[in-house]
Amino acid sequence: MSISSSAGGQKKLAAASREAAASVTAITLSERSITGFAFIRMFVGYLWFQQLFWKLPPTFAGLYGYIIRESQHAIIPGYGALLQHTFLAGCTSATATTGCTLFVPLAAGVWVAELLVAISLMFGVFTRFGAILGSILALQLYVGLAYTDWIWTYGMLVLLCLALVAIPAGRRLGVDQWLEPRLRQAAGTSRVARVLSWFA
Amino acid sequence: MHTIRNGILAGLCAGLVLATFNFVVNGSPGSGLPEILHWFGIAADNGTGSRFAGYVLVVILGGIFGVLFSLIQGGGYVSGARSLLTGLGLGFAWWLLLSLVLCNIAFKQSLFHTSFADVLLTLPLNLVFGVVLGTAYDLLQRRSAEARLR
Repeated sequence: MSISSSAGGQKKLAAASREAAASVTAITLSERSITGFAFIRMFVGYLWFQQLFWKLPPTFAGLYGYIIRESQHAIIPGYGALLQHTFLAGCTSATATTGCTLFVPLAAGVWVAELLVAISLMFGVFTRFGAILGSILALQLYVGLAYTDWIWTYGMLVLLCLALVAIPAGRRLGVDQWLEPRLRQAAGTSRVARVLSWFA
Repeated sequence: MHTIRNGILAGLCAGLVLATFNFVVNGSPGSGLPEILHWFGIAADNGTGSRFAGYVLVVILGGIFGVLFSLIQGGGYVSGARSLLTGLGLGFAWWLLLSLVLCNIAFKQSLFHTSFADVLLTLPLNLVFGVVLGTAYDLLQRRSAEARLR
């Protein structure tokens, strides 16, 4: 009795492991796939890069109209008021930055963040960091502007950046190709290197 | 021979990236590509044919820079760091010699005439060209070495 029940258990176990092997296959990205992602990374970075030029320093004037639109159309309650009391604090005109007290320093922060995303993704240096920063910036654009454009415009940008967080696309045709193996080697002795190696 | 072949392939790959960067611009796609024909004294209008010719010229120039890259490296195995730095150096050389000096000569301006926005718009793209050239060469070199071991 016990022998037959044990044999039945073994059969069930074998069937279960066959089922697991059949339904869950380990996925490894091929060289072609990761190289394809490297090209996608460069052009997503280029997308961010091109957007630097209509809001150049020192005035960042191109950004002003968009911040006003965001403050009027945000999909999260309170986000418009937050913009009013930070970016738009003291502003007296809807078309020019006259009177604004915080607009230039905050706009400089946005511009530098977008520059970092562009450099990170185009050059493939700490690509995942750039992709995380890009996701946050794109999410912010989605919150503020989703209903002023085609609803998926900024949503697609969020998704593209999130895909580049998931896949370390800088490890081919980017600086991370050289950087990551060195950081991984140092990760055994340094916690900083271990953290940085994930971002590369 | 492997070195030259790898250099050409890496250069064509990097040239393709740079040409596509020049194609995907705000406004009319590829509108800046005929200007590259002007650098070499080729008369061109702003039509589709000129844009296509400009695109192909950038890819070919990439291949030529790839040959230069492999000549600089010599015949031996090159480390990843050296490959990357040589690529960046050649990317900078492209920007300085072609995008700045040759462009200014073609449009009859002083040799180093430029602006902050122009530098910001062109230099990073040429440096990306250099990174792709250097890293693609490194990958191809490793693949060639593995094939020889087999």
